[in-house]
Amino acid sequence: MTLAGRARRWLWTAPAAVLLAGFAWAIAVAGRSHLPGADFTFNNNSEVSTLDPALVSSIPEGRILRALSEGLVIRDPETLAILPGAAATWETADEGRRWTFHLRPGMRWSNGNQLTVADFAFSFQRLLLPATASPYASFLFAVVGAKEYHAGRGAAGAASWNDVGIKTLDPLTLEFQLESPRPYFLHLLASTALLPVHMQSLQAMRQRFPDSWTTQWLRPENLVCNGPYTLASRRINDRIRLAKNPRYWDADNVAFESIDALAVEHGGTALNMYLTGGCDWIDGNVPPLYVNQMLGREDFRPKASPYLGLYFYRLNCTKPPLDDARVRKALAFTINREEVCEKLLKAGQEPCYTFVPWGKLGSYESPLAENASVPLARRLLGAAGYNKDHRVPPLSIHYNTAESHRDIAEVIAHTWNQTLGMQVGLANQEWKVWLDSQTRLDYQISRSSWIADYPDASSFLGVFTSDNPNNRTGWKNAAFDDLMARSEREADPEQRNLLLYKAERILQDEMPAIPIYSYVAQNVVNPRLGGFGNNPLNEQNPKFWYWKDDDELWQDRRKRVSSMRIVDAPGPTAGLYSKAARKARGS
Amino acid sequence: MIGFLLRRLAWFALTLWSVVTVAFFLMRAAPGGPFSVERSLAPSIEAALRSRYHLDWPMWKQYLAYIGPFDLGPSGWIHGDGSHPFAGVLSGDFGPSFKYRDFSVNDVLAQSLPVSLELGLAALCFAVVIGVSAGLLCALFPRGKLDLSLRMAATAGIAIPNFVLASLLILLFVFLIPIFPVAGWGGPSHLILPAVALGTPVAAYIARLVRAGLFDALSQDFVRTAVAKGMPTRVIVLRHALRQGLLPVVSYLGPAAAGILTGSLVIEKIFFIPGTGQHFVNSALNRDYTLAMGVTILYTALVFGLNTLVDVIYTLLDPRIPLEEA
Repeated sequence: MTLAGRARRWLWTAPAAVLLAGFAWAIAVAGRSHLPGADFTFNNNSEVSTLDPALVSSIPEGRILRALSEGLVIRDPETLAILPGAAATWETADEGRRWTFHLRPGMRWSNGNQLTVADFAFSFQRLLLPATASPYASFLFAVVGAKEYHAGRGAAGAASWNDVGIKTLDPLTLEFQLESPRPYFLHLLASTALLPVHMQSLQAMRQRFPDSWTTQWLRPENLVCNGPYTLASRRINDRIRLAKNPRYWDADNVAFESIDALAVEHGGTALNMYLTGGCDWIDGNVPPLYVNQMLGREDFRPKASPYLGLYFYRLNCTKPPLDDARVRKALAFTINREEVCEKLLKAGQEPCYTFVPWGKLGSYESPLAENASVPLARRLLGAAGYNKDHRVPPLSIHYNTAESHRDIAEVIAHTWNQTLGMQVGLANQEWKVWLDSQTRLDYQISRSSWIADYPDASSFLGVFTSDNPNNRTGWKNAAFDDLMARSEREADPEQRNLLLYKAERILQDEMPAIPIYSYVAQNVVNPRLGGFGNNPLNEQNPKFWYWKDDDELWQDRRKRVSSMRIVDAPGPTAGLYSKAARKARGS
Repeated sequence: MIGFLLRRLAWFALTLWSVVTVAFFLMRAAPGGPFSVERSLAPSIEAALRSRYHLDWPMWKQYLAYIGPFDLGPSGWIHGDGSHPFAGVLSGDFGPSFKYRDFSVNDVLAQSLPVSLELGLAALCFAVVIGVSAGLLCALFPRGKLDLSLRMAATAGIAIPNFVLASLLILLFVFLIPIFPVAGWGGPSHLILPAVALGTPVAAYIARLVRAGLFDALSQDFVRTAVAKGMPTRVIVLRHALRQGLLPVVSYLGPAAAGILTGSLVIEKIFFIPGTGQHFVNSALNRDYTLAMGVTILYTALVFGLNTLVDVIYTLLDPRIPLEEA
């Protein structure tokens, strides 16, 4: 046999050999890429879009950023009360128009640099710079000159940072001059958009990587931060590993050495991972199918966790028949919200009739909704000129493709058909298409939701001002805009609540959107976890987390209602406490 | 051989160019954009973002910029304002991702492709080993009980969607008999369940192809000659008949491998695996123009490459087939 023939005879086994070699490689690589488990693992629901605080817009990013950075103030995870963060103290003068913050002396960034107010001033300037294109620049618009600076024009024509009311008095003192008092100014400062970024490394990266610095400075090896944790590693759609920051000023009070944030999107998978000990906290996303099974467990208590989120239907107020407030109100009055909450959602969501979920927020209480009834709704329709002979033209509800939205829309459409005799169709749209048609007002009724940016009623009511890009209903009301604008300038909390109350009254009277239900937080969390707050923003600060030992776990269980099903609480039975806590416990 | 490969390469360039062009304009024709989010951006901010990514340019200019390193802007394309410009696919730069804003498309693919390759290879091995053995057994003992049950299993394997199979596997091997982790990526134990779920339909398909192919081969003259010469059955089947019986499997494996190696959205979702499969669907849903283009190019290249490989293997398996006509 020739050499070629011999080769050919054996060559055909080559693919098999390649396959086997590949298999061996796969196993070997799989073993190597394995990361040892972290002290604490939670599901962050999706991959974060960026770790740049100026560009971040949603909850998953916020969870990571609060571990990496610390703003001037932070919020108490249980009460949401403002606590000192990087600033140890602050005082306010001039009826809340001037705020002075005093940084803790001796604070350091994770690379050892001094942390001064210059870093904060730089970060705020960066947030306002038009080139940054931050969606949250408006958080600083209360500051004198900030709006003009953001728009690129200043007192003398061109924008100048000197005209903006953010001043560094000395390396540890920062002063804000506000145009008008903002009762929720401290809450804005506690938001992720106003977290500090490290000036030197950002500028150094810009020099070193002129093409790709926007991504380079956020890489684990380059990111310099000031929070309780640093970024250890990151794999897209897998996990973000956080490692305790030894240079954090309060490191003695941080318990976990490492934290993993997973990006599990599939609700069933997340629950499976939790149930098999793969993670210790999952938020939301419990598939409705499992809600009944999970209710009553001590680690799932949505009914005790109201959440500042509102599920509502936007109505297109620019096109008949929904340009008539009477028709809109007739629709709002006939929705059977109880059925939606109890039969479909089941996790403790509350029917909502107000534009502020749960009808109250802090000291603010929403006006009571009108006593709605089907006959009243029919009368309203009649007054709008619709009756048996002249029916309301067919309507359609747009929703983004998701089973729960479809179910709710079906129930509501059916109710409208039964009570008002309307023809209501459903139209599901892919997420971006749905957003697009909502923005272009190319819809009649559109499913919507809104989550508070900060715990204040204006975070919800402000959506419907004429110039808010989130309005998306075409509804404009000068009296409402005026009340909202006045509430922004009002220093007296009671007066301010009254203005907001009047504004919400107008919303209820005009009904540009129909509130349907208030959200609940759906945390499933290992009972052993301590320092986990149950608050209406569902905002957690990793700084406070620790593992309870068996004693503390049982004490906590005794304090709670006994009807709850005790479940496994995996984790160290001796607990895992911070250095300071260990000292205080005398061990 | 060289001529054949060169011709293929030319065709490859042409195919890739048409795919890129069609995909580029299709992506941008979809309603919404990468910056439409539920919490609307102020118009000025959206405009700033669009201009940062040069989405405010006319379409032809965006297209040219995507294709290659042409200096198009007054500020220069390559070194603009430091806003992450990119050099175009011709220089191997797929651009910044719109959704994963801390990464470039190259980063995203470099992180996810090894994972998918790893899982895909494991699934392929499983599929080939199980599929070929089952097909072999069926062909050797035709119309018996074994043949019947294996064929039923193969039909089931093709018919059952992989998310059902995945859920069944999880129920069985995680909750009832806890031997595997439920999801995640890391150790070799994470590899088994998703590889089985991913490989089963392919194994079933291969089994059917091998059975039919071998059946056909066993009734041919050269087999009869071999039997008459007193060759042992093992040698006849494994060395002579199987070689011909595998031809249809090889041609099926080309595109199938491309599909398996690039991952599957469903399997990656259920088993929480950071592979490429989810990018195929999600990048389109997110209007992540650059990432969608990146995965399209990747897939095109893989399909084309594997098909070429199949043609080469073909001539090795059956010398009667000339390469030039393949």
